[in-house]
Amino acid sequence: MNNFINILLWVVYVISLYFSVFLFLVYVDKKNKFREEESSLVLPTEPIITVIVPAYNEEETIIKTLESIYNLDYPKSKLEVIVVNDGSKDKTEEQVINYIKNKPYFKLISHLNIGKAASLNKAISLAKGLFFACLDADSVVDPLTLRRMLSLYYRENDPDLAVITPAMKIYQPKNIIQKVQWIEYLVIILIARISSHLDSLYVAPGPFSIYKTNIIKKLGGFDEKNITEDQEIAYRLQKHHYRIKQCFNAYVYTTAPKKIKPFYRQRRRWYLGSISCISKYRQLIANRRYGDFGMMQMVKNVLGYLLAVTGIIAAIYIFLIPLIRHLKNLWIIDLNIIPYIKNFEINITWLGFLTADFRKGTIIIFIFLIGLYLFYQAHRNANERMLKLGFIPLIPYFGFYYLLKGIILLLSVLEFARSRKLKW
Amino acid sequence: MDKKILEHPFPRKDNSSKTNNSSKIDNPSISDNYPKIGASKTGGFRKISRDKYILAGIITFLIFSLGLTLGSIFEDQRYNLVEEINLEQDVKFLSLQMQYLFLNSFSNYNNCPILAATLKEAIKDIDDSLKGIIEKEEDNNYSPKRGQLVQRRYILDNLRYWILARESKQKCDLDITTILYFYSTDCPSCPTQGTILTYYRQLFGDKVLVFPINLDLRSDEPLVEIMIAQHEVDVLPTVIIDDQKYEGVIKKEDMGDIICQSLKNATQCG
Repeated sequence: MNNFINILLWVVYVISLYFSVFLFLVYVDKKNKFREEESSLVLPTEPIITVIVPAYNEEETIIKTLESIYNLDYPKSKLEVIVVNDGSKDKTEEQVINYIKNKPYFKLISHLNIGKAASLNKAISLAKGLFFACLDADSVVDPLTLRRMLSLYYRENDPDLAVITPAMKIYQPKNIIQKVQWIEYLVIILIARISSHLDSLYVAPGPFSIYKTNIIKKLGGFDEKNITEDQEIAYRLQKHHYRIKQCFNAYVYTTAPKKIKPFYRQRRRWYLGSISCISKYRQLIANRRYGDFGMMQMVKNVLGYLLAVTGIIAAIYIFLIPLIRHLKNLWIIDLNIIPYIKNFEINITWLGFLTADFRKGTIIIFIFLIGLYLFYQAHRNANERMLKLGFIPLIPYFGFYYLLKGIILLLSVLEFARSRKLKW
Repeated sequence: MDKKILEHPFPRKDNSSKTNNSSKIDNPSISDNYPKIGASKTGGFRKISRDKYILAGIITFLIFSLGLTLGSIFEDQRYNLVEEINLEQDVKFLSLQMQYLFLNSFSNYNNCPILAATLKEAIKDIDDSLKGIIEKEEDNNYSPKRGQLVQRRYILDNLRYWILARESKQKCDLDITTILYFYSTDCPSCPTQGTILTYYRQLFGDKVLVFPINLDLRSDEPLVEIMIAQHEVDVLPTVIIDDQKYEGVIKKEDMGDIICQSLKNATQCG
């Protein structure tokens, strides 16, 4: 058993190292290109843009969201805002009706609860814009975001460019859970930017990604059965060789879950959606026709899940079992640790140092260094100061945040496997 | 790092050829005349950053090798250090033996306190320096041969100190308890016994001397087999306190009583 776990760990370490090195190489390679990338705010033309706001019981935040759309730096005559009230039971509808008075380009459609993807599809069928954007009621958009994204679109000048994704940041992080996610999102922005340069983005995040209306219509709109419609559409676009680009300085601020339980629910939904997407589009995995997306991103996604699951199991084996043994030992000696404390001395000897595992250690150190480098670059990339939120969020971030995510992932994988079994 | 390898153009901006045969296979529902990117540019395939895959592979391999190299270098260092410690132990043991010989031949019991002190110090040393290594070796064998030698050596050291401690106790009337502890790594209740022994060693300090014998090494070290035969060990864990054999796990309270009976005046016994 020990040997088996050992080999498994080696595989996890080496593959993780490979992906880290690859990411690092792409970043170093593209660094100069990144520096020049500066979206201008002047557009050759200003097309009609539709903004769809799906809302279900959002009375507390909806006005703030609509306000941020109203404040967009874009001609009002070229904007169309469709608020879709998906059968809210609270005062969302009243609030919206009040707000959109005297704003002719704001529309409200209401129906009984049919789900988010279906609501979006309904709105898309009405959309007049060249692009449409979705903005959940828990997010607000920066005034310049739309302009920056469109300028990227005209610079790329590619009819197959189907989606431009923004850089998502956490809206006013207050407690530690939100602050950790604030850091996480910065790192995600950088990694998405690197993926964007490899045409390997696999999520078109719900908040204010702008979608080319005719392409989405052609592909049949959002998948109403998938729980993460923003991932599903991205995989579908990739499958049909459309492009997804990230606009690294087009900011959208989204409210992060404040408590553990909603956090768990959110991540569980993401992971389950992601696993079902990968399983749905498994023919893309290691498919050379799909270039870097098939050969690297899809493989990485699949392996990433496998590695995380293996890693968690190994971590449990390595940390949890000795922990249980120690607790059992404490119980055997009736919790009488006084003799141990009396004789306690810290013995840092050369020999003690030499008993460390340098073989795996070296790999871990390199992965950590690359991680640290990208962590630093992520802050610069997102134009945020290092340690803006202080040292404290770093402790969970580097300490156990990824372990926590891994555990949620493990639970999601198990859940997915179970549901598949039931279906068969 | 070779700059040339890293620099790779991004051949995306080519909209000249619009025919695509791959999309038809993937999705017949999509109209064929719609322009498709990527796949059309390299004859049905999108761009692959092959050079980066290879370079990443090479770098990964280099780091991996660096780890292996560092591992073996430090492992060598570790075994060298262990050898040094063993040499030191040899000298200490020789000194002890000589002290004991002196004591026997001249019947000069004034030397007893010195002998006791040296003995306790030697046992403490071997425990401090080598116990961690032994636990490590029991867990994973990176170089089985050397690891096994270190473990055998440890058992032999323990046994000779045990013999010397027993004899000195009788000759000098030392107030110590000697405990011989037979265990193996796959015995399920041994960790419990180990914990209890460690506890009393901590509690009584150098009055309780524990000599662990790992039965995993019985096929490699004949003396282990001799000890097993001598004490008729057929249950694990087996503990021999002074000369009395106890089979199975001794509970914490019982162990405390046994030790206190053996010691003449220990403040810990209350």
